[in-house]
Amino acid sequence: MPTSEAEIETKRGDTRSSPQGQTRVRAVSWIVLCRRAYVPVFSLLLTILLGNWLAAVARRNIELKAEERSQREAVARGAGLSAADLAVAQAVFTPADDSSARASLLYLGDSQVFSRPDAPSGSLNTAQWLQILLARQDGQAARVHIGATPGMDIPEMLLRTAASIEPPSSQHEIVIIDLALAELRDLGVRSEIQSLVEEQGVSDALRNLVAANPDLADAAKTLTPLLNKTAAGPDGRVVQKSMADRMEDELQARAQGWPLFAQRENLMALGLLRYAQLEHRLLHISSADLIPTPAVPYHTNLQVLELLMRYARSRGIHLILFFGPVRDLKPNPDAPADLARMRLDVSRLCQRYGVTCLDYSHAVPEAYWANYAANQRGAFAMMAGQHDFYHFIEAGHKLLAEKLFADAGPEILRWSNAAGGSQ
Amino acid sequence: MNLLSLSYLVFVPVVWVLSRLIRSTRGRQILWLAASYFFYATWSLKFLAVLLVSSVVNYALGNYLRRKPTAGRLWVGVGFNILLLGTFKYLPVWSTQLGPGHLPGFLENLILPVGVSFWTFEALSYLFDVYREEELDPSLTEFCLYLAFWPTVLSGPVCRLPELLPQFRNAEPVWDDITEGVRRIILGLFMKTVLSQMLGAGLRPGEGVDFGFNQIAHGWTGADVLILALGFGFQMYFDFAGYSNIVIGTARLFGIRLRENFRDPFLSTSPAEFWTRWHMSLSFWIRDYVFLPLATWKPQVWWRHFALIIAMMLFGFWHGPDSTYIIWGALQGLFLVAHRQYQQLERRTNTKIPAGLASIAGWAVTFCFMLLSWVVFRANDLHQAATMFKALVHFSGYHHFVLSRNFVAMTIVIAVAYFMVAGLRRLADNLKQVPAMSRVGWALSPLMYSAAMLSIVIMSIHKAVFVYLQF
Repeated sequence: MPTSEAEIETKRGDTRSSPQGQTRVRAVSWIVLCRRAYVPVFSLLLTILLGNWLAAVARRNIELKAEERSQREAVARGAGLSAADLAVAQAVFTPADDSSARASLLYLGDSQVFSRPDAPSGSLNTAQWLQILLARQDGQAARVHIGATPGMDIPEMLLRTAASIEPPSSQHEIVIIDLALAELRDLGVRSEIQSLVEEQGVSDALRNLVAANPDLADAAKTLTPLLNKTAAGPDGRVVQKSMADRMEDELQARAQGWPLFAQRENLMALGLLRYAQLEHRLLHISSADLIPTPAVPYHTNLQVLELLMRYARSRGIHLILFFGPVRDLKPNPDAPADLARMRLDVSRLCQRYGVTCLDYSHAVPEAYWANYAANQRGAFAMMAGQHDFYHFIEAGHKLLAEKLFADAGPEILRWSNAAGGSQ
Repeated sequence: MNLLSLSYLVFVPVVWVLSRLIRSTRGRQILWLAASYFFYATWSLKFLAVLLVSSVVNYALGNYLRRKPTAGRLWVGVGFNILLLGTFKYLPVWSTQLGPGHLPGFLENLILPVGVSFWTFEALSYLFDVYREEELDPSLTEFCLYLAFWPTVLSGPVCRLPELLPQFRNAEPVWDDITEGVRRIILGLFMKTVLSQMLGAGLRPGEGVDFGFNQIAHGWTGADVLILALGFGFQMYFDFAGYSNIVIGTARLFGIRLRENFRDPFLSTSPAEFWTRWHMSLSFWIRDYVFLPLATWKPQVWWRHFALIIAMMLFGFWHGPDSTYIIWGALQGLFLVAHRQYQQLERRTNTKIPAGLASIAGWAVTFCFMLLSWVVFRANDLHQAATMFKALVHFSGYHHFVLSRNFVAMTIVIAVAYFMVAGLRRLADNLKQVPAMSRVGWALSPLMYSAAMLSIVIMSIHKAVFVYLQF
C-alpha cells in the first residue's frame, strides 16, 4: 500500500513511461486518493455519527431525570391534606417570590432533604411538611424554599446561602441546615453552584467575608480559587474580555449547534455514573461499606461552616442547624467515632455563635428507612437490593418535620413576626 | 488564544490556506510572522512588545557578535537576556516575596510574559551559535519568526536556529506531513484534555493531583504521597508531552519538523537516559550550552560532577526562583553523579550484572527516584515537601488513604495502561513488518481516531490550561 509521497512518485514514474500506462496512472491516482481519504473521512464520519448517538443518549437521560424530578416535585392529594396544604407544599420547589409571607426560609442539605426512594410519586419531603405545619399555624409566617442538592458540601452551602441573601436576590431571613457526616467529606463545588457567585454582589460579599476572617485560613484556601474564577478579577474589578476571548466565546456558542458539543456536560455526568457502577461491581462496594472521613476535608468543611455562621451573624440571618437522622444498622458507612466527633465539633461551633443546634440522629425509626429496590434503576442501580443509609420514606420525612416544627417552629414564627414588623 | 481553544482550530487552517496561496518564501515568512505576532498578541499586547524588543536587540547583538566573536561581546548578549529574564520572570516573584513597597511601583506591577523562558533561551542559543562561528545569516524577519513562531512561542520546544532556518526557507508540506501533523495534534489533545485532565483535576470534585497538593494542607499518609507522586509524574508527562505533540503536529502541517521533546521517559533505565527522553529540547540546551562548556573547563572528575549539579540546578531555576525547583534540580544532579559513580565502580570492579536484571533494576530505581523527586517539584513550599517525605517514612500510615479511592484506582490504572501501551506499541512496530497486520491497523485506525476525538470533545467541557505555561 503506497502511502508515502516517495512511494507514490516511484509508482507513478514506473507506469508513466509506457503509453498504455496513462490509464493506469489515473487508476492508481484514484486508488491512492481513496486510500488517503479513507482514514480522515471515516474518522470524521464515525465521530459525527457516534457523537450524535451519544448526544441522543444524553438527552434521553436528561428527559428521564426531568420526569423523575417532576414526579418528586408533584404533590399528590394525600390523606388529611387540604388544597391550601398542597399549594404551599408545591411552592417549596419554586423560587421564593411570594411577597405575602413575612419571612423566607432557605432549607439546605443533601438528598436526604427531599429524596424518598420507595415512596410513591407525590409524597412529601421534610421541607414540604415543615412548610405545611408552619402555614397551618400562620399562613403568612414563612415561605420555605429548598436549596438542598444531592451530595451538597459545606462550601456549596455557603455559596448557596450567599447567593440567596446578597443582592439582587436578597431573599432569605432564616436558614435551616440538615447536617450529615457525608457533607463534611468533600470539598468540591459544582459548576451549577459555582455559577451562583458570578453575580457581582455575591462575589464581593464572599471576597470581603474571606478577607475579614484571616484566622480561617483553610476555608479561605478553598474559597479563594472559586471566587477568582468569576467574571470579576481577584480585586473585585470586572475584567473586560479581550477580543480573542470574545471570539472564542462566539465560536463556543456556535459549536453548541452540534448536539455532542451541547451535551458534553450531561455526557460527562452519564459517563461518571457508568464508571461508578463499574467501580462498585468490580470492587464489590456495598452501601454498608465504611466510608472514611479524611481529616483535612473534614476540618476545612468545619472552618467553612464556621465562616457561614459568622456570615449569617453579620447579615442578621437566623440559622438553625440539626444533625440529620442516621440509620442505626451495623455495618454502617458512617463510623460511630466520626459521628460523635462531628456532633461534638459542630455543637461547640453552634454554642460559640449562638446557633440553634438540634440532634435528630435517632429521630427516624428503622421502619421508616428506605431500601434500594431489587430492580433499582438510574443513579443508584449499583445499590440494588441493599439498605439505603441516607434516605427515608415519607413517614420519616413527616416525623422529622414534626420534630423540627415542635423544636424550632416557635422560634421561626417569632423571627418571621419580627421580620414582618421590620418591613 | 491557547492551543486547546476553538479559535486555534480555526486559526491554524486559515494560516495554512493563506500560506499555500503565497508562493514566495519571503511572502510566506512575513505571513507566518504576522500570524505569530497576532497569536501572541491575543495573550497581551504588552507581551508582544517585550518579544519585539527582545527580537530586535538580540538580532542586533548577533550581528555585533558576528563581526567580532569575542567572549566580551558574547557576555553583553548573555547579560541582556539574563536581565530580561530576571526582570520579567524572577523579579515579580521576588517582589511578591518581599511584600509591597520594597521596589519601585512599575517594577512591582510587572507580569510574566508567557513563554519568555523559552524564547529567551532560543535567543541565547542563537548568540552562542554565532559565537561558535556557525554559518548563520538570518534576515531580521527570519530571526523574529524564529523567536515568535506561534506553535513554539508559548512553551517550546526550545528550538535552534540552525535547524529552523533552512526549513523557514524551503518548507513545503507534503501529504505525509499533513497526516502526521493531524495525528500528532489528535494524540496531543487526547493526552492533555483527557489523561492529564483526569489526573490533575480528577473525575469528581474533591479529587485529583491539584486537590491532593493544594487542598490537603497536611495529613497525607505514605500511600497518599506515593499516589500523588505517581499522579503528578504522569500528569506532567501527559500535559507537556501532549502540548509538545500539538506543537510539533501544527508545525508539521506547514512542513516544518521540530525536534522531539519527549520519548517514553518513564521507560528509562538510568537518570542519564531519562534526561535524553524528558523535555529533551531544554535538557540538550543545558547540556550543550551550560554543562559541556563548564565540564571542559577543568580536567578533574570532581569538577565534572560539580558542573553536572550546577547545570541541573540551573535547569530547576529555569522553572522559577522557588527553592523547591532549585532543590529539585540539585537532587537530579546528585542522582546523575551517583549514577556515574556507580558506572565507574562497575568498571573498576569489573562486575557483570546480567543485562536483563540490570535493566529492570535500573528502571525501578530511576522510576522511583524520578517520581519522588516530583514531590519536591510540585510541593507548594519546602515545608510541604518535608511533611510529605515524613509521611513516607511513617509505615503505619500505609494501610489507608486520605485521597479518594476512586482517584487512587484511576491513577494506578492510567500508570499501568501507560506501560501496557508502550509495550503494545513496540509489539505493533514489530508487527508492522507483516503486511497483513499493517493493513488491519490501517483499517481500524478511524475507530481509534474517532474514539479519541469524541473523548476530546466531551472532556473539553473542562477549561484546561497547560502546566508549563506558568514557566
